[in-house]
Amino acid sequence: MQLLGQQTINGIALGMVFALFAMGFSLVIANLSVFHVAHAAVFSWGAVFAWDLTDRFGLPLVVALPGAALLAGVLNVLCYFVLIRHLDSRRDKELAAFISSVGGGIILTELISKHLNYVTVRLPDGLFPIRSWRVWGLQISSIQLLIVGVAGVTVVLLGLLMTRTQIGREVRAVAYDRELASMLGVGATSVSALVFFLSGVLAGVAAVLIALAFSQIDSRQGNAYLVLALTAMVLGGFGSVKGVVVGGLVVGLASSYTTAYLSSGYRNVVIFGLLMLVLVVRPQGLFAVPSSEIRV
Amino acid sequence: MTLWVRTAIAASCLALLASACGSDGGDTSSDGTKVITVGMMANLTGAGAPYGVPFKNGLDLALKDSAGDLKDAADVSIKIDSKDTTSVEANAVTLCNQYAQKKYPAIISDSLTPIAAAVTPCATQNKMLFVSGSGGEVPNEEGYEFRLTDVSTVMVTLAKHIVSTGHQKVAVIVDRDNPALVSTADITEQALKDDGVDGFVAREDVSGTDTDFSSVLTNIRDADPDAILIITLAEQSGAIVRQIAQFGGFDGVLLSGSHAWGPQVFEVAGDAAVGSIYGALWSPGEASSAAFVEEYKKEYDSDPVAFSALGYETGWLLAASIRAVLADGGEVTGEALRDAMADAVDSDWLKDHGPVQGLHFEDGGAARYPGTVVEFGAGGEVQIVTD
Repeated sequence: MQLLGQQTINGIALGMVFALFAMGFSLVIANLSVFHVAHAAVFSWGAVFAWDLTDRFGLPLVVALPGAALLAGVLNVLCYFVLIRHLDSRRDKELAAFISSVGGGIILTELISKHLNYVTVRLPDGLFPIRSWRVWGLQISSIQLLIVGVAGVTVVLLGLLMTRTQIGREVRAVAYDRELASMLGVGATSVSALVFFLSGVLAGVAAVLIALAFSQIDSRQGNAYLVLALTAMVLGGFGSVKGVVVGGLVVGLASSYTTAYLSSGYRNVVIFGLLMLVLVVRPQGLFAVPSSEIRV
Repeated sequence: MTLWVRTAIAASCLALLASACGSDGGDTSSDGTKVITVGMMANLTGAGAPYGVPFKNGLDLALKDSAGDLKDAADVSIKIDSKDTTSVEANAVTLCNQYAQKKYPAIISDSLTPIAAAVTPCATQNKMLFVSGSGGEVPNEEGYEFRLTDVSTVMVTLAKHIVSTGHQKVAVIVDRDNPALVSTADITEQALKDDGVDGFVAREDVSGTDTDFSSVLTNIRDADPDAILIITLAEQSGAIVRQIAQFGGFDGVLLSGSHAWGPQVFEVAGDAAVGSIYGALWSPGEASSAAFVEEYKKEYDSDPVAFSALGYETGWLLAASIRAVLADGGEVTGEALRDAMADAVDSDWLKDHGPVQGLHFEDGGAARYPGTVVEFGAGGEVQIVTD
């Protein structure tokens, strides 16, 4: 029972990171129907920005985390204008944008390799105090608390932004019908740029948390999370903030339980088996959102 | 077109064709010394870089140091044609084929068993001597491959040390993607059994690309070990050691690692690695290596690691085998170099200059020599803890 409880804590912490990553990806899909795979490279750049800010400029985590997230957001906006925006008028714009994003992702990944001189780097020691506590026989570390806390606050803020603000209403209006929203005076391009910014910020926050927890920053680390985040998104249901969070937690817990009770070698088999099962039994995901009422 | 124009074009084409076929690995330098070119598939970036860079440094230093002796003894010099594989097997095989086209008699790879396994068929097919810094066994029926990492002896030494210091419940974390590391775990488990311990109390396999070890560490902690053995590449081992400290609940547990460990573990884990031990193929504290250590520090402004020593050993081994072939009046071919390796290992050059004392090769190309166990102290200094 104690093992189950401990693996649940591990799974929740991991799942929250998947959820953050997936939410950024999901925002773009819901808003523009674009499969923006360069999101993985933006995530990697988020970790690299954190490394630059802390290791090279000596900034504390409290500055580096929002700083890296903002820089990742700006980078994602650049991705929108360079890779996606000019393809809007094409008839096959989704496919063209996907291919453009793949190319952009490759370039961004290679740029990280050059920037890091092809080595793996890590955030400096002592950036965040390492502690652990034993509660009811379960070990909880300060890093796990940080991940759950920061990810939780970010999800709540995003939810409030989308549901309680004028900006959120405009984002949802563009996601619902881009042309109609434009005719009603909503700046569709500005809204899309904002969505890319928010998506980049979420990737940046997730990347800093991962870099802090797992002591590793390299050019390709975003790729490993991309596939898992996609799974979280499909499990939860496209376009639903709540669904993506639940999807992320399901993937995180499945990963932990598989390692505990089977073997880590079966982890991907179980996660992607689950994905296929959901696609067959409930293709709309756990939290179905009708395409006509898509929420972001 | 006149006949002479056609003849000129045909002659040019033949010249181009001849140049495309490449050299035979033997040219002559400006002072008349014959130059033997050897290909190197260096892992200068990627997962193998922690081993590849120091290995290449050691190799280059050995070739520089041996140049005078080799010129005096055989009037030849060795040139290395080195390219980065980025630690990718396919790149290494491509390079091997390029070196074969250039008819080099020998090729070198610094580390990583998957690369050695991928390159050995190419080396064998093209009859090139293949010296590798790796340790995992690969099919090598014609004996062209020689691998310098002796996994077996050093892990037996480590297992004995763990047991002799009162640890009986050993858990292991293994990189399942690397066959050499998987067999290292098997060798160590057998050594523990030979020393009266009932094997591992827990065994967790991880992928070489894994970054989150919380679930694995939960399972390990559940087995209540008094020692944890981490058999993964150095940077990943450092991340695991760091996460063990972050995770908590492992007070008083001995952390240990395989031959794949090195200074990178401390660079990643920081103070969390202090007090951990690992089986070292070579240690700078060995008295017989004093001259090499001093010269390496002077040349590269950094301390040599085990793979620097293996690179240095490889350089002298190559020089000694070329000298042995030429001393017999033979031609420097891959076959001749392979047959001369036994003489080279026993040569005075290697005994006088090689930092790896007691080296010999078994049938199949595996190296054997005594290993040692070292411990990380404060600041990452390593100290030998075995005799």
